[in-house]
Amino acid sequence: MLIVEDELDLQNYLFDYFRKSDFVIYTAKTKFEAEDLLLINQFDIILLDISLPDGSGLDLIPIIKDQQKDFGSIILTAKDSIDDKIEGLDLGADDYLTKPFHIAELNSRVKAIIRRKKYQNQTLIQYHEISVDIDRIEVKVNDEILNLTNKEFDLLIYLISNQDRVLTKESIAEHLWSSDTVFFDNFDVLYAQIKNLRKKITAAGGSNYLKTIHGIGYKFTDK
Amino acid sequence: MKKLIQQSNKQFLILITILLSACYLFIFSGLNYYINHESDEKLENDEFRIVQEIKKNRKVSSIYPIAEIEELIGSNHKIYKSLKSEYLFDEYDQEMEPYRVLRSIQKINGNFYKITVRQSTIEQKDLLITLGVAISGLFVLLILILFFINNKLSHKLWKPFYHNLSELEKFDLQNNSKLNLIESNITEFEQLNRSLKSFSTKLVNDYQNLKEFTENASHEIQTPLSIIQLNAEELLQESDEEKSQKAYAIYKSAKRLSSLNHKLLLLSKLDNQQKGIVKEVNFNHIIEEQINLLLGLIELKNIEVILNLKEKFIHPIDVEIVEILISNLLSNAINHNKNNGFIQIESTNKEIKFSNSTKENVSINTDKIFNRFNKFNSDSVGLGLSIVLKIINLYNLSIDVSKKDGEIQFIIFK
Repeated sequence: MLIVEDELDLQNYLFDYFRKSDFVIYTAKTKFEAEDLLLINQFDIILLDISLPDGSGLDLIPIIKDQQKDFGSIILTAKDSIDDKIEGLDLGADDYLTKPFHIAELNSRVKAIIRRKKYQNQTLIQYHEISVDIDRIEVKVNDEILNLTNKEFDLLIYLISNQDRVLTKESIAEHLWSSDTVFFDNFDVLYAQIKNLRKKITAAGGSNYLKTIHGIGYKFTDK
Repeated sequence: MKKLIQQSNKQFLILITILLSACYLFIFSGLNYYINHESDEKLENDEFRIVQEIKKNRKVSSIYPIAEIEELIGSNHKIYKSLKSEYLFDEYDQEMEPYRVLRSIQKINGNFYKITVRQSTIEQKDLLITLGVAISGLFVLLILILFFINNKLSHKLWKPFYHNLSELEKFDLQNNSKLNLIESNITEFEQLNRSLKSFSTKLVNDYQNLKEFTENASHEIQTPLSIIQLNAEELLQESDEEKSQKAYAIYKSAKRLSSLNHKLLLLSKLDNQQKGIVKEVNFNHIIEEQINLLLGLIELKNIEVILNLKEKFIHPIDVEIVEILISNLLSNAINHNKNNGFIQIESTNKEIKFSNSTKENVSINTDKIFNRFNKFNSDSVGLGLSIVLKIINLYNLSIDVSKKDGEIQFIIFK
């Protein structure tokens, strides 16, 4: 993975985080450094900040497309500008996140790209007795098909992608509804979704991996 | 208010009229005086001759109206002489005609005589009238010509000025338009042009700087906030409950700051009259979209949503701004609603009505409702409705808020 970000604190944070996921990580804090690294190495994932000291991160995308074979890129930026978003995606980036973002969200998207890449669009995710078929939008617990709503489906994938991590209710809400601010501090809707998902899994015989972390959020874990 | 040309013409006319009238009076009275004076000289002459004849004891006959001589009886007659203008009825022309009359009573050779000599001034008077008419005609012609020329000249002179005026009207700070001013060889206009150009350039520059500053400041804030939030989220992973609760508190505050930052940035953009991409937008469509998004919350509180979108409400505006507008109004309607309440949205092509039931035992101050940071509970940021108001003002809409028993209503209209 290549992380191109000029804010060192953020760069270090991302480095630490993704290292735990067994990524081999290279970092660059300027366009120039990034170009050098891109010439020498092949990356699976590139996290790109737009506002770099020596230019725009978007300028790197054509270079990446040129140099890199099979890559995925996510643009990170403080700007909430639609123009940048469109330009970035047009140029060929896979995804786009505005700061501040939830690390779980970034993680989930990185995982999605990896899934797409590594598994050649193999769309099956397995977590113990739960198997999720992304293509067919089908979830099975021990071969019994669960009847999940769209939101519950998204929720399950998000939880599995970020397993063993405490996920704040805000980050989950933002993932499901692309904004948590509409709810102010009333997350009852989210609680309802969680409750339903839990019930459906356990009703089909699955263990309850969906642990509640009091006051904060949830954790999908088998520990 | 009147156009400059009209004003100057009006004043010109008034001035000319006064001047000419004064001229007239002057000329007329002058000529009149001259005529009378001439007559008087002649009359004096005639009288003198008559007196001389009488002195020589020759009889002088009266010829009315030219000369009348009357011998007076008695001896207490006052000697006097008077000169007057009078009108006499003329038999020949059958009308009243002007005369100059000299009357005198004199003592000649021991007797009193009353002598009256008259001279017709009709010719002179007629001349005067003809002259008057001729001059009047001339003057009127002169005025008309001057008027006409003046107008034409004025138009020509002022044309560049009017062009520059319309350029000024077209000037839009937002669109970074340039002023295309016509040059003029008139000093004052050139000065005006130069001032306008430098003024507008400075204005555009300052505006750009302000925009950039606001946006940069806001973006600068986002990254550190990001770092706080991310690290706080990391600390949350701690199994120590007390520590993770503290981390969560930091995380929530960072999120709130970020949201506040975004909203303030939006407000300042609206303040700077940045209109975004303006197109004709169908509000009904956005209303339905937003309701869908918030369906979860609506169902949770068991709120009944009544949509009565009779006609399309379309208005030139930026689509994203409409989404913010509707989303804010809807969120408000949901959050300040009671359980099992209702939200009703009606639209015609002239207005949209948002009404909803309100929580019991909560009083709403409709006067202050749009003020910044006017919060109903301590969790909301309180900017939502002030954003709504700014949007309304920026895009030439209007909004009205009223409350009834347990119900509040917002009407957006053009």
